[in-house]
Amino acid sequence: MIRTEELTKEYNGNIAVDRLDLEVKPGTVFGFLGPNGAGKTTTILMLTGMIEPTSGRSFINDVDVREDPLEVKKIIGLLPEGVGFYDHLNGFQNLDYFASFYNMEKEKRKERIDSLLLMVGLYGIEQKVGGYSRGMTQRLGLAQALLNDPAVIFLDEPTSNLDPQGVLQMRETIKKLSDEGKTIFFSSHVLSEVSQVCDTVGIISEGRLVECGGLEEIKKKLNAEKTVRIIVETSTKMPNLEHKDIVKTEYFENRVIIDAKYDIREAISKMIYEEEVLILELRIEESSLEDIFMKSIYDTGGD
Amino acid sequence: MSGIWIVARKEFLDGITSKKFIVIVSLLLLIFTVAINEGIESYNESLERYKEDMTITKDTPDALPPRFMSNKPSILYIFMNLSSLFGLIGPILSIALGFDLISGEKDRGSLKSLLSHPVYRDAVINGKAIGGISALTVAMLIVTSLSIGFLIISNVVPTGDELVRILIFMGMSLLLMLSYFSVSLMSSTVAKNSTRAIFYAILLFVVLSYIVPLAGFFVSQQIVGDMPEYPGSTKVIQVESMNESSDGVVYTSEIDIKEQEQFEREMQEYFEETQRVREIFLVVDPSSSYQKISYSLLNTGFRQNYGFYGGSMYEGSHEEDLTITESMSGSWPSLVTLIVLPITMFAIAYMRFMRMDLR
Repeated sequence: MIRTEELTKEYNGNIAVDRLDLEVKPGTVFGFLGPNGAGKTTTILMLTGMIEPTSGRSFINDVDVREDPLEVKKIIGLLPEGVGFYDHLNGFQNLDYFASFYNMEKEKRKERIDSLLLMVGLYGIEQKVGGYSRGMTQRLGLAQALLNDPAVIFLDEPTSNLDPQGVLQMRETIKKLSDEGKTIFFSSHVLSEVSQVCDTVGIISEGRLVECGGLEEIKKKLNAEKTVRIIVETSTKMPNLEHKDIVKTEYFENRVIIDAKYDIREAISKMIYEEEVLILELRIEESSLEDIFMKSIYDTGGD
Repeated sequence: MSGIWIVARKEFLDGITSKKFIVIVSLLLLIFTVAINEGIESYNESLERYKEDMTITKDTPDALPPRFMSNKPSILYIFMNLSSLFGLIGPILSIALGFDLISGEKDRGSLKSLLSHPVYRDAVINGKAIGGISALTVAMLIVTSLSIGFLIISNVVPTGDELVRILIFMGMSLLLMLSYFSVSLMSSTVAKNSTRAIFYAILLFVVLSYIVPLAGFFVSQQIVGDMPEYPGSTKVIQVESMNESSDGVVYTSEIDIKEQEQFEREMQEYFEETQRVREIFLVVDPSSSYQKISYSLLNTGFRQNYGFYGGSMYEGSHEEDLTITESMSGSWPSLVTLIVLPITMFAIAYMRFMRMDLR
């Protein structure tokens, strides 16, 4: 559904996106994760035909974006970062202007706009957009992205500047759209957002895609490259533990944190049992998405 | 409806329903009313003098020599006041209408929203230009109709020739406004935000209308050199046979006729030369071009020449009224300026907008 081949963008000699190869399957919610300035927005603008790449190609539903950006715009929807509207018009009038580019009949257009305004909770509000709150503008932005009932939806930092309730509403809407079979390309630098709504994740740093795959897949992949942390707590003083796979230990009174090459919880359990000490807790500490993200970014020299 | 007309329609409707437009039309009407009112007063005074002279010559044909007879005033003189005032105000109003056409969209973030829908970039910039030009045209049509209506209410009825000249004059006023509208559209496209856009547009207005003509003046002085010296100012003749003053010397300002003619020729050449150089600089100034055309158009006896004491704004011989084509014959370079400048500015705006970074 979304595919890029060596997609590159340079601004005055600075590479914003560096030979990006990406494939997002139909019907998935793809989280495009990266710190500010990593190249997320530039990638989205290239994928939506808003800016031309310096080199490389991108395809939406097999339509070459560079060759036919207008055709691509007919099948996509975009909620840009910092979306804005015409302050002197109300929500309906703004959407009606954008909808007029789709050759929709007036009645059909009105019907579609009304249903979208209802969906984002702005139906019947006659107030000019200039008086909207940031959250209302963002919701109207989502409505304008869905005007043409697009198969592929690009959301650039959709939850930024939203209050917690707004974030929840946005999440629900994304899930609803995903259930309808839409492909969603969701960019964010907020990790919890991505883990909440996305099936697959791509991590971008300094214009390069450093990781890409399913959430669990990425966790496993990165966990394989590091030691396993085991935390043990006993009822009395912690005995001394020795094992060939233990890399590092940190002892407290009745507690130890072990970094091991593998999951050696069974061996540790045996050792403590033999010392006739009661185990209160024995658990492995998993990497959070945040750990993976930070590791991906810093291992590639990102900020 | 294709993208360009959707954008143009919105821009036009936004333009004519905006508070800014209402203020602009009101200001234009105020300027026109004040200028026309003053013009009508002096027209009526001239007409009275002309009628008095006609009465005198009717009763006693030899009472007034022809050169002392008042000329029959033209309605067109009423619009003379307007051209100089409009040359200053017109550009400012046009800049006010166009400076935020693109930069305003960037400020609000609506440009990204707009371009994410199936519309080409060129349709957006062309549509905005068409919408803005249409709004300005409507403003001028309103002002023209009301001005002519005001004349008729004041019992000043133009002849066919005068009406055509008034309409051409209004057309030229529109061209002047379009010139600065294109300057502001270009600034709006180049600038990062609306504050910078209005600053660039006003800066360009000052440069084109004041700095460049001033530079032309200084450059012409440098190229042509000093003004020929008036022979009478240094000539001292000692005439012993005439009545002597206390020191026995008579100072006189009498000059030899040949020297006087020679001086006048040199002065004529000097002014022609300086004016030629200045004209090169004035080519980029739409306000000067507008005033030059207006003067030629509204003064039916005006013939372009480089006068003894200066520029081309001075009247030539008043033999008989010129036709519109004859009046305009010396104004083609100015007309070209009023056409080429907006096209150039629009071309820059177009190219810049097509390559604009949308991040």
